[in-house]
Amino acid sequence: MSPSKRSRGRKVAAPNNIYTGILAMSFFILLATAAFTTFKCFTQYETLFTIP
Amino acid sequence: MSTLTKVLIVLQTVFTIFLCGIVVTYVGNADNWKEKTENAQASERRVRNEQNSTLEEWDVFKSEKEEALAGAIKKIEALTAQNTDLAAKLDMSERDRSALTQRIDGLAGQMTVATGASDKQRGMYEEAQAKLDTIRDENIVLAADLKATNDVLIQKLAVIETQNEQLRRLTEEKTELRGRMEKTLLHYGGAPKATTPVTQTPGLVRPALPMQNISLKGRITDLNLADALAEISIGSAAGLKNEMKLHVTRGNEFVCSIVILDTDAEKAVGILDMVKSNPRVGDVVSTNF
Repeated sequence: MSPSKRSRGRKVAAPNNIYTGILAMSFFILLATAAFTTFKCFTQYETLFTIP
Repeated sequence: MSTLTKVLIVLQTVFTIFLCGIVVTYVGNADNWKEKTENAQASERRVRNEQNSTLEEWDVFKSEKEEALAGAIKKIEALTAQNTDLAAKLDMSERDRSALTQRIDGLAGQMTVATGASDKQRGMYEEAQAKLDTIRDENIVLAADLKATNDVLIQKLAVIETQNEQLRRLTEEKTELRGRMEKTLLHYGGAPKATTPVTQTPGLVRPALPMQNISLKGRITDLNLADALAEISIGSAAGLKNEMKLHVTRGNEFVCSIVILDTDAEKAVGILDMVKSNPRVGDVVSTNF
């Protein structure tokens, strides 16, 4: 993020590097955790957003 | 991307992984409270049903027991009344028992007296029985004597009859002779003289002299029961004669009689007569019973 004029006029391309992979991995882990939690809640309590 | 951003990304990733791990661990190991609650509720319902049924059974049991208790109380009251009646009857029975006991004691005393009197009467009866036996034995002896006397009397009567017959015949002859003599004397003119009997006429009737009580006593020395003969220890020296009758006794009991057949100086032999029981050597022999 450079405050130069050249960067404002150009298409910004997302950099693909290891940190993207790390973020993706953490996102997928988070997603899996949410899914697992949802699954468990549903199977045990048969409800998701209400108090059984 | 600045270094801070990179660091924050890394840190975020790490802590995200850490947090997700914790969450997953927690969620995976968490208890199924719904199932537990449902089980608890079911269990509670079951327990409540059991409690209700137990309470109902308890009510039924209680009512039955109360009825049984009421029945038992009534029975107890009835039995108490019966007990009171029986106690009163027992008192009456005790009084009757004591009265009967006194009566029994009185009767026992009377019985003792009656037993003494009975024993006394038994003794008197036995004495009378012994006397009766003695009298019976005497009676037997007297009956034998009477029979012998009757026999002698019959013989004497026969002799008297014969002599009366002779007297009548002689009287008739005398009368006839007197008549002839008177005729003869009248023919020759004489009177008959008064006749004097040749034999002396007997005087007034005098009572017979009483028999002398000889009182001979001896013992049997020998016996021959087959021939009914016995030998005694006294003889003519003591005054014993033939055809005398002696009585054999044993104690106070009459045994038999002996009629003497032959006498010696110191002994005699006789035949047994009126045998009541078999005589034995040593039995007493006497003229008086």
